[in-house]
Amino acid sequence: MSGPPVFFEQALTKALETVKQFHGLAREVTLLRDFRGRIRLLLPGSAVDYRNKERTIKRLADSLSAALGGYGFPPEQMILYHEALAIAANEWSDRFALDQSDGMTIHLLDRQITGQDWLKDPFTPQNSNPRATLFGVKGGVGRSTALIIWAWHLAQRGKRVLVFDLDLESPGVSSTLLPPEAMPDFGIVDWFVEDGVGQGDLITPEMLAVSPLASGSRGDIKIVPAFGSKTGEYLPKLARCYAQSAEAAPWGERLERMVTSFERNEQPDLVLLDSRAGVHDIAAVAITRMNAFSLLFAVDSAQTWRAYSFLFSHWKRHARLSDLRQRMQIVAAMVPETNRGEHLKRFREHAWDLFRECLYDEVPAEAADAFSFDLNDEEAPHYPAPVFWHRALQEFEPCAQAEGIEGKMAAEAMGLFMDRADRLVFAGVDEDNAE
Amino acid sequence: MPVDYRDAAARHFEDANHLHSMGRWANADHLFGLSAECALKAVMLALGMRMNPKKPDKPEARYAVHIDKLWMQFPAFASGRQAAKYAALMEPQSNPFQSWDVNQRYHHRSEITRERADQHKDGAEKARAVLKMAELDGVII
Repeated sequence: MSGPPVFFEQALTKALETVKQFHGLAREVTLLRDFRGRIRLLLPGSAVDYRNKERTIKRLADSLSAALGGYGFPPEQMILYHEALAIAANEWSDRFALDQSDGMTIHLLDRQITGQDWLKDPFTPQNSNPRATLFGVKGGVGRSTALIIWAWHLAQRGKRVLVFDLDLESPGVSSTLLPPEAMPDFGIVDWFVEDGVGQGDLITPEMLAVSPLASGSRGDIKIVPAFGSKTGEYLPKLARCYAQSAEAAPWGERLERMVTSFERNEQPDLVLLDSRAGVHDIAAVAITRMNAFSLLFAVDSAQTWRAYSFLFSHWKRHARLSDLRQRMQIVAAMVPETNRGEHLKRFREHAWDLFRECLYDEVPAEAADAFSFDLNDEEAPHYPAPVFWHRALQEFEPCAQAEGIEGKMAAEAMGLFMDRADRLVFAGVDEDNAE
Repeated sequence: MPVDYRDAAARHFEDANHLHSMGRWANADHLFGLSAECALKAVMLALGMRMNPKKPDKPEARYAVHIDKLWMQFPAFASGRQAAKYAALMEPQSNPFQSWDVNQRYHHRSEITRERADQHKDGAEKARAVLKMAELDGVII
């Protein structure tokens, strides 16, 4: 191979540049990027349709092969045709337009082993209650603790809250909300395994429990935990949770079906989804596909902002970005006791940079219909809802303590967060009966 | 001659459809079975199946079987994150080739009904879909 090496991030740009020079060839073409990142060109029709363009095809294949280096193929393998591959309609639906110019649209069909859900359309909502997903791009920032206190606060106000512990690789809220004696028989890992053989519905009645944490309140907290008292071996079940099968729908659709079935039975005022941390497929479904408001937990560190920017810049390509970004709220987690104002100011600036870079429209904030916010706009998604560091939140075991959650502590640590989160999820919902 | 499972899968499939369209159920049926076998073996080879060192045109002994058995073995072979995707396209408990036998080439044509050939056509299309998906993914080039 001659010339400097081509690395992954350059290959797609090079492929685009090369194909654009051949814009007369077809109205729509597709770059097919395979599991290893190698790129080929997919042309509509079959090879015989291009018989009178043989020399152009050859030049294109030679140019692509030369441009792509290790991410290309020898010229004779560089070009594929739709008809020969017999691509199924559902495979096609993952394709999106990368470039439109000179009468040609260039699509990308990205073949990945995981992570496809980040860019897929949301499910058609079946639920009337709002949902909120609590997510942190990095773990250990008090996300589950915040979920529990918020759920408790809502129950105090008469709300019926239904919690799903989707942090399957590191379940937390399940055992914090439910002491061992209150655990139901089964949990979400059991459901995915049983549903894989068509028996999911058989265990749903044994997957729900009422948390004693809210027993004195007007509302209640119910939880569908990650595991139950009869789960048995957790790891062999977890290993089968994401298994696909010919008969069953994809994982995200199945999760949606399970959550919807509980919503139908329980009619909660709010569903809280405790998502797994990090850029994982569970989070992809819970944030982008389940029509939930997303509370994005962050601490003010370079590594956190960098990790969020990986995710947000991927979303720039999302076909439904304009819906998605309306339902997001950044949360400043573990805000230190001292210099809070200074800390939150710095946090807000960093969050603003991130949102402006990836999710806000590039226009002045006052422009009509633009999704763009000033740094100090308190209703902006980047304007942090703070959770303050509090001694009582360390080693948080409210069910093990007789006093449960103390209202004063909850208000001190999370009052501002809860006000903001309440407004976000209940905006437009009739609250007459709840208050 | 070197083994080329992918091309063999395609030509058996094309010829089987040709015979099927002419109502020649018995030989169509035979070729649908061979086509499905070659399609799955093409994918398995790409996913790490070894050939028999003593007989280079045959796979390692446990996979040197025809489609009536291979269909059931494929999901067990295809474990792991990448291969599981292909196994997901097949239903091991409903092997469409259970009623297929390579020795039927010695049987009388009246033994192979249209219903039987249709069932195996369906199975061959499923195996072909697995192969096409592996091509799309760049597992097979």
